[in-house]
Amino acid sequence: MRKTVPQRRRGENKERHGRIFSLVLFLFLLFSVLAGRLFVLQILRSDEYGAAAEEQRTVTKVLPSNRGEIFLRDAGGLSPVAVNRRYSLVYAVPPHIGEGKETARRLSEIVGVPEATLEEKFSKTNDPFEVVKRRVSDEEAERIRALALPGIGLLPEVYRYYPADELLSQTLGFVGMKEDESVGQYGVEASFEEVLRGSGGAVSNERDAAGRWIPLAGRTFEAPIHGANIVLTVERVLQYEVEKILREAVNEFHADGGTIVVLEPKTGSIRALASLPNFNPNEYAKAENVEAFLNPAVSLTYEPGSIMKPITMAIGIEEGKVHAGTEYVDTGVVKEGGYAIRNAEEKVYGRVTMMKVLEESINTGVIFVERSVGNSRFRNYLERFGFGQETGVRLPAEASGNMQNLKNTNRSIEFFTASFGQGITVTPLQIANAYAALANRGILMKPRIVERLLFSDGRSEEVPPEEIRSVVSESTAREIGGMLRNVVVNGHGKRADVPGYSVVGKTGTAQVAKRGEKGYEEGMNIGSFVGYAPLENPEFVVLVKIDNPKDVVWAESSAAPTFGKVMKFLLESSGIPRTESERKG
Amino acid sequence: MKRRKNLYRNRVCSEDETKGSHFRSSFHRSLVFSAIFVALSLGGYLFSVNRNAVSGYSMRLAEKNMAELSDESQKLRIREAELRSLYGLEEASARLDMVPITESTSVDEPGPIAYGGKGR
Repeated sequence: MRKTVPQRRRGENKERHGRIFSLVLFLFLLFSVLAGRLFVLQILRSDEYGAAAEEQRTVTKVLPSNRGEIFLRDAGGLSPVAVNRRYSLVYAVPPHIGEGKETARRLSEIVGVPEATLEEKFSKTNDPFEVVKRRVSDEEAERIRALALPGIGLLPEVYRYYPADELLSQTLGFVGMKEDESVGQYGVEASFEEVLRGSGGAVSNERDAAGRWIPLAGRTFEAPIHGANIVLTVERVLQYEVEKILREAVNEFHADGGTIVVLEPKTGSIRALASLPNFNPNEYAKAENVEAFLNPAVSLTYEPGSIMKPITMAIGIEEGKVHAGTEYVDTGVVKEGGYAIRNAEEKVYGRVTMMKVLEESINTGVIFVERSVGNSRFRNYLERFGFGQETGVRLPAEASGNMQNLKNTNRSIEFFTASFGQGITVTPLQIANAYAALANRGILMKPRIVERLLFSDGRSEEVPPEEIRSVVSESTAREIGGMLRNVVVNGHGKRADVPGYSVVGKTGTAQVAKRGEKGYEEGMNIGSFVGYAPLENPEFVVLVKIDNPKDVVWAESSAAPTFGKVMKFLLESSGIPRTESERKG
Repeated sequence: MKRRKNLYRNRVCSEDETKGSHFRSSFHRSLVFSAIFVALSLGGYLFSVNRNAVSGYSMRLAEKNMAELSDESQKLRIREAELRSLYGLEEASARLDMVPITESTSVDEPGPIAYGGKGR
């Protein structure tokens, strides 16, 4: 049947509507997909793509901080001992080098790198950058610059430099590479790494397609915070003189090494800290033994020997058990726990006073004192004097010493030997600090190596002296001082005396414990002398320790005269008035 | 032409024509003053921008000089510390290879002459 015109038109309209509908549906779906994609990109993952875009169009330059410097006290101001020095790095761009052989020859004369090595570097034409030599001095850099060799350039570098060479090397430490980063290692460089390092800054700016910064675009700037400078309590000239005296002593007595500690008893300030063997921090890589980097004054312990006796005596006096005139009958031996403890050279002294016990360094005499005090109280006093724990001096790898033998108060033999400094270990700084307490009216101070910090924003922060505790009374300290003066005048410390000054102190010749097994090394000893002056108003405490001196047996021949030289220099250079007329005879 | 000009000059202008010509001449005057003003402003702006740019260069040069002097000062400070190094002095005096003093004698001369020669 033929369709009428209206029917035909309706059919066509329907078909047309269908096609339009399909098209609209298709477009709708298409836009839905696009909208969905846009939603995902711009809403759900906006942070991710935003960051990627930011990174692509932003260039960031890190602004490194300058490492703080380290200074010593010096006449008229401060003396730098650790600074940042600019050197140059010589590099080559092999594709730009013309005459490789000639360039290598001319460069080799200046930098000292073999010509063959340089030629090999220059032959790498695919390599845009080759390091020729680092740490080139200003003079060498100028000579290279004057040559104007094509393909050879210079970049600035900063390295740590120690202009005073090996002065105070173990206390300073050095800056070395650790996991591709320059960090302080050993000494103050390590223990104050955070303070010295500071924190870097950064500057960010938008860049164009060629990588150039777009002026007037968004820029963020964070200034670096440079490291703080550190002023130590050590005096430069004093430190040098102490190191020189120690070196002379070690050479004279053919010793294995030695340590000298100089403390200011009223403040705990360390005025000098010398140890041998030492090293040059500018050439730390050349050190034969890494043990040279350790600071024996704080990190290595030893059995102190007879220099412990005045500490034992002070404990006895403080407890009211003895005083300088208390008498005791020495039979030459004390037997305890199956052991027999004798005096040095097996001497027998008979009836003696406590004054004589220190003067002659009688082992059995101090055992008598320790017995009077009691094991538990004796151990408590040793702890109060700072033994068996770190002093808190803020130098790395500080040892606590070992008082494990005194854990069991029923084993009296350990306490007897501890009373004359054997069977327990201490660091040189600990024993010097204990004597500093006696010099400072019985008050123990915290040893300090840093005097103040100077921050890059102009602030200055003082590290004040810190009192730890009162260990003994002032009267006890005074009495011990008198007894120690007697040791120097009449006892084994005569060679430690300084004419015109009331120097006090005690010698100690200690056996050296075997490593890894019980007993002591044959033929080895450590000679020590520790004391202070002037007695009336002590300004300096000095400890001298000579490790295994040859040709001498007793500390009165090795450590005592070395102490005398150090104390003489200290008293005279400080302008301290004489406290007594020079004794004759 | 001349005649036309003379005719133009001798012509008596109507009121409207007078007003029109006044308007045109004041318009021209304002135009000229505006142009002069714009030119002066432009000139002033260029001068100011140029001066700022020059100052900017001077400042950068001064900053560069400061940085160089600061570097130089640091180098001299380090050099001073090296020269004052007591170990350095010890090495330097050892290189001089002088004879060490074992004994020294003090001579007291009360007179104005350092050493009168008496007693020699």
